[in-house]
Amino acid sequence: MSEVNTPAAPSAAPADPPPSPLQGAAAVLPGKPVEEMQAALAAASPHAAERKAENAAKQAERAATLATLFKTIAGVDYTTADGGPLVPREKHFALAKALKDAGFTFYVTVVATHFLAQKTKTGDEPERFEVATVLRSVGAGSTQVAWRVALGPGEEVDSLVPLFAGADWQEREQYDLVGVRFAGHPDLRRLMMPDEWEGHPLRRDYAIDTRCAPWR
Amino acid sequence: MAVTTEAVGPAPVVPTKHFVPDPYLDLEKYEADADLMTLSLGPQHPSTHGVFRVVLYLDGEIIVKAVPYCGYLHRGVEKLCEKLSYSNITPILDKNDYVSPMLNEQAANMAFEKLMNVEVPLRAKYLRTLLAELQRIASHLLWLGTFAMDLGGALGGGTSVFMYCFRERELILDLFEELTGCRFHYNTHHVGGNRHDIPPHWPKLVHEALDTIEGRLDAYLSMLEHPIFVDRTKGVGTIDAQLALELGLSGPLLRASGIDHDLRRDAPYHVYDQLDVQVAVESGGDCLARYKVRLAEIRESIRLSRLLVDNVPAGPLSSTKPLNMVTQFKAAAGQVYVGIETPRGELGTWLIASKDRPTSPYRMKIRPPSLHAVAAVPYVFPGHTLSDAIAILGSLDPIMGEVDR
Repeated sequence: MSEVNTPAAPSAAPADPPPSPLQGAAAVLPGKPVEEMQAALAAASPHAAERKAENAAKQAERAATLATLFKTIAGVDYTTADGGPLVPREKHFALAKALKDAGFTFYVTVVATHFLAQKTKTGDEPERFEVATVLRSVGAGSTQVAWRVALGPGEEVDSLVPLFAGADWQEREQYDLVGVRFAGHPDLRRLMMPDEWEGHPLRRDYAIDTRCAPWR
Repeated sequence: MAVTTEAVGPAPVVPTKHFVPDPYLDLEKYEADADLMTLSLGPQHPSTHGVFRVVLYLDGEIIVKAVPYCGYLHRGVEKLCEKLSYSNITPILDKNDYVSPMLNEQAANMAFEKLMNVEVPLRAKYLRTLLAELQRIASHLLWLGTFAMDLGGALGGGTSVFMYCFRERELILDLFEELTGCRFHYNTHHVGGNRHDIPPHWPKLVHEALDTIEGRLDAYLSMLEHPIFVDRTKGVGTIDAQLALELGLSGPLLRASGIDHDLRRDAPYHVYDQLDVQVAVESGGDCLARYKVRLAEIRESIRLSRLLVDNVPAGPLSSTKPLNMVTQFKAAAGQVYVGIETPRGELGTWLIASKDRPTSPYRMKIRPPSLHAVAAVPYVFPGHTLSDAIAILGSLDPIMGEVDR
């Protein structure tokens, strides 16, 4: 982490003359004292504390559900770090179904990523893909859950369209741009690029200035 | 003129044989009354809010199947982000949802901050909340104007409401111009805080603008809540709660279908955890319900903005140096997802950083709420006439710059 990313220590008094709006970090700009401001907000928002407690309680409850479900169905520990746990490919659909039944009914997104083959000190890493899925629970204490599936080149992952109709276009987009295929998708066509387009633009080996047909 | 909205309006549309909620309907098996007509609507149709094309199959005047096509505005923003440094990405994202650029900047910068583990000072959080609420008012006003124009002469004045709403939106844009120097593409957020501080005279301008908008809002309602307006919107484009959730709709579309969900209240970020956000929920699920939800959100945003602008705390505006060091922001390897509530629903950013190139994202995926709104078209259009389809598309409020990216 570079040194500029550490928060600057606030200085004691407002600068004099008034600081430029572009001064940034160090300047303490004039305004209400923090305690006074918080009291004013609390007076205008009588239910805020109550809501905070409700959200925290619901989120703790959801976190417990997630730990159990990931352990029993996919056999992995649930974590929010690093984009969620890696789940075996064959458990992907069953996990999504169980999560939907447990209240994670809101389909957020799917993200496919291409990783090129790499030579590292510990050995050669082959070319691979990762498909991350995000779901969310609805209402108070809304909790997001994300997990990833690792794929080799040419491998498919189960489509979630039978569970969430909203997955339809998201998966089409990932197929179009990254080239990951979703098994069981009813209509896996390109979404953004023209039908006759060659290649998948969001792959890492697709140069940003690749010329497109008919000019290539 | 105050007209009750309950007494007038047709009964809700009951499912008929025209209505098949299946986007992959096999037209060979569909028994049409007349010859099926194929009509390609768009991409340069004024009611498509950008460049969006939908192929409609009409049985007489009734739509039996709708096949949408998008991608006309695809600019490869995600690919471009892989080449740009973190401080250079923000101005690009202003052009995604060009009706609420403030929220686009915030969504991306919050993801950057989470991955880099950078703290945002309280004053910047305040300012971000305030800007988000003001932007919500401007965005909903633009929607109201274009929606009224989509309904056309039915409102007795053609483009009157459109012009009035743009006049009011202009007041918000003036406030942003006063603050940042730009009317649309602000580039006011960066990793760790905001770039532009509140000028001393600005809170007074905010109060004046909000007072004007609030005062004029009632006048629009008396123009809009007219029997013809209710006829055109009530029972049209009904999306029930189950379908809305299935389709991944969010924001006002989800709340108009009776689902009480708002990230500002349920998963608070910025300083929303210190505010009572009153979430407007309607059970109708039709165009009228979506109109009512958005109107209630304008009023709520006005209330929150007034509260926030009076209580800006003292303190630094940024925890990092914003200028002159273009490649200063470096992220550790990792993946994060951050979602925030924009006027259209949940706008999310999935960000992957690798250790090989810490100054720009390895992969950045934007989850646009409008993509799901457009994907709902094949489920909502069937069973309606072409003129209703225009009203439905208007009420879904898609921004194609965000859908196609």
